[in-house]
Amino acid sequence: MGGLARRAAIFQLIAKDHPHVLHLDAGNMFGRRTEAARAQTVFLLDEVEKLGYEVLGVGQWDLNYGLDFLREQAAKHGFHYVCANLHLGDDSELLFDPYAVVKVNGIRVGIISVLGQSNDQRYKIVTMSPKVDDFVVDSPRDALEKYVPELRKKSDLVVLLSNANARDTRQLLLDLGPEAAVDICVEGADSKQYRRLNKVGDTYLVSANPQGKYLGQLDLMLSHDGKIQDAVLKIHELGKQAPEDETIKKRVDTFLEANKQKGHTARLKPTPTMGDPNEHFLGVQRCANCHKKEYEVFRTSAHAKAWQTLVSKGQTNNPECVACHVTGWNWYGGYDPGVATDGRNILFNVQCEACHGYGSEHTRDGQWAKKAKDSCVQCHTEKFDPDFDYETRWSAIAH
Amino acid sequence: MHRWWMPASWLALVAALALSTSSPGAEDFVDLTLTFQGAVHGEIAPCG
Repeated sequence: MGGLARRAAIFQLIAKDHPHVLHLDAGNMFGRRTEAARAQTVFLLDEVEKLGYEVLGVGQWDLNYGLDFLREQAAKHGFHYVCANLHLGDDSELLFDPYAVVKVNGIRVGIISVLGQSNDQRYKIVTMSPKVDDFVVDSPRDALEKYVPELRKKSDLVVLLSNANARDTRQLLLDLGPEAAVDICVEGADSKQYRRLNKVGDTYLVSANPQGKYLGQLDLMLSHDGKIQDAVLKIHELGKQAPEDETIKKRVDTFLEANKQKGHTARLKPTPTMGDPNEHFLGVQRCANCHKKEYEVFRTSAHAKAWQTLVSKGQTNNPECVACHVTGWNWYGGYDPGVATDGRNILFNVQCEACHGYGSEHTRDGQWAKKAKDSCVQCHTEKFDPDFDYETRWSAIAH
Repeated sequence: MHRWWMPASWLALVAALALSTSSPGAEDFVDLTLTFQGAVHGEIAPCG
């Protein structure tokens, strides 16, 4: 799911019925702290500018390549990043404007953004920049109580882009006094998604995260002074059924192909947290020695082509994708692009052990290590595979 | 005999009628659509 080409196509469909549109990004648009992800982020920002984004919230991920990088990109693209509670060390001056005002269809939309705080005052923002930026995040509540009243005077409608997590965002909205209350809050920090229109106090709370797989649409009917008379929420799934903008798809494919050829793929490193360091994945060929019939079913299944789909899409360095296209990602002894056997990594694709567990356990006790049925939904989640139906899919690979 | 309050009550009646017939119409509202996303994390294409 996801992708720029689908997002652009949905934008075009929305524009047909809704001529007055404002595109908002609640933050954390930037990628991981790798060179490959930085190159991809540069490409993404080029495309985001073409899609018409103007005002963006600052999330922790947006600082992954350092403050200077973010500012350079903002200047290059004419983006207006806002954040009302981020500064450096003892310098109390904000790093970004606290808010911006955009006029759409005669309505002045005030947009303000805040970062959430970690448990201690110092926000541990780690960047790839050699320059050490001593980021400090002030209380989001204090920031909103300071800036929203002045923003309210300049705006008809006030929108908060919150980069606090879902729980803290909700509490923040409850804690705000009437002078600092906002009309709409878009939460952009984590994977929380709201399918229904939420109201916390007088504020509409929406979220369409994560990872570019969804797009939120909020159709508002406003009085001329910006009072919300009606609000309709729609969450677009950018799945296989979604249309694609062919021009953008070509540009994305060209970028991914070039990125792949630059050899970024070897940079991916797993961080094992699951399984047992004393057990081993044996690989599908060892399974086939005894389970020939089952192996034939595997060999002709989509599971056996899972890696190739990433290769064709240039996504072999993307951990979000790799996790469900190999065997044992982030398991002890699981797939690791740095480990090869005879020049080949034996744990490409979704092999027997991806569902049944360590082969070393099986060869020792002759039993399946776990119920394979339960393992399907680790990858075939509602987010990644909303149409998944166990009985239908099982019939295709019954063994 | 002239009743001084009658014109005033007529005026009030006319005003009430005017108010009751001036309920908001479509021209009194404006449309605005917000699209929103967050936590994109650098993604540009589906996995496969």
